[in-house]
Amino acid sequence: MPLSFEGTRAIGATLGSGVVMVLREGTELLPYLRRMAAFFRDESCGQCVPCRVGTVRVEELLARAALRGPTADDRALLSDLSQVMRDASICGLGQTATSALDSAVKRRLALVDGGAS
Amino acid sequence: MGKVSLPVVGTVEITIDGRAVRVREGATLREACAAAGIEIPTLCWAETLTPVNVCRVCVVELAGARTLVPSCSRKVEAGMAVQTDSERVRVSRRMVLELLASSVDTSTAPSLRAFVERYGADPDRFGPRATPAAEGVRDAAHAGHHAEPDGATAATVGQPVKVDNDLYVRDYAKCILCYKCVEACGTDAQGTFAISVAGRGFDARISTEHAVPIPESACVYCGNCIAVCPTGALMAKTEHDMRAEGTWREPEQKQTDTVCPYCGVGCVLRLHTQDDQILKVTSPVESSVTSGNLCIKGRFGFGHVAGKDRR
Repeated sequence: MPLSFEGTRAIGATLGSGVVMVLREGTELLPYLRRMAAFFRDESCGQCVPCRVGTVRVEELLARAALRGPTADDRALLSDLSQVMRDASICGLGQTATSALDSAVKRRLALVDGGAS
Repeated sequence: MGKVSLPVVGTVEITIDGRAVRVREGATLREACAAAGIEIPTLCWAETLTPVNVCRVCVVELAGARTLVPSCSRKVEAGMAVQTDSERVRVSRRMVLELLASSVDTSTAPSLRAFVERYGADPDRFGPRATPAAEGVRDAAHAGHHAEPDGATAATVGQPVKVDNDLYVRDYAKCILCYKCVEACGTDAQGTFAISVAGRGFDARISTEHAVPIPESACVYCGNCIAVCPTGALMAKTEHDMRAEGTWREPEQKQTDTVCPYCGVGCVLRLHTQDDQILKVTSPVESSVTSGNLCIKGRFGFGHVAGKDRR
């Protein structure tokens, strides 16, 4: 895959800042996703509601899932949070803050029933 | 008589919920919707203030746009097609309301509570509310640092009310960061610039310079911030104290419009009275003299009316 706007778009991803993280197969993803959620919560400027509060609720959701295991409610909540952040945030930070998490859940790599994550 | 040439104000045609609507060029989508009889919910928008489009409750779906657009500030363009009540719009509005109502105290915010009801928002789905922050903690938050969530509670902006002067209180546990007070204090009305938004992200808050108490700030006590606050986070101290002791009985209160006696401007005063006592003074936002704004004398200088020494 060429590391370009077109190349990443072709596989349903975005180029972002061009960072590629290499993880060993079978790596527990939740700690990485929680780190990303904490990052976006810190980087939100706080101007618009979807991003200001949404990034906090996403980080809380992942902490909850880590504490007592994920549920279908968690996935439904994440779906709603992702949608409002993607659709109604002012800028690209809030609009893409849940992209990695959404992708992990879609591929059943995180927030899977019975899993630790 | 010579021919008078008037500036031509163009109009554009757009489609709102499938209906063709012709509106003035330069109008916002919110105005266009209002003209078509469609009321769009708003929290951070006000007739007298520059739109900041931060609350995102007024979003509508614009055909061809990747994201929803804020109708309070997005200007009409010929051929636009918008949906004001699509599933996408409803989800975003409901979520914005859930996010706000789960993180602030809405007890004195009737319009926000009405929207929560209307859109079926469930603010409790994020779990029990975290313990409010101790005094000064949120004011000292450091950008880029935050405590890891405990996985059991939902963070709020809860904190003790700031009572540092005789005229008004600041209960930032009720603040939705709509920016209205900042605009009224600054460029849009008073030009005093005593308050602004400090901090970042969820720790963003309305603050005086270096978070000094109001008497040490640039505040001139015009109270125009109180007038525009949609949630009661800013409230005259009289009202705050009476609510606390349970003697504030709004349904019984009468409103009487009069003219301010202090200077020659002639501001319209709206006296809010209960048991024949003036408890609060506001000015109607429709007033061409005030646009809802007053000065310290008009808004707070009514104590002498009921003065015990008055003969």
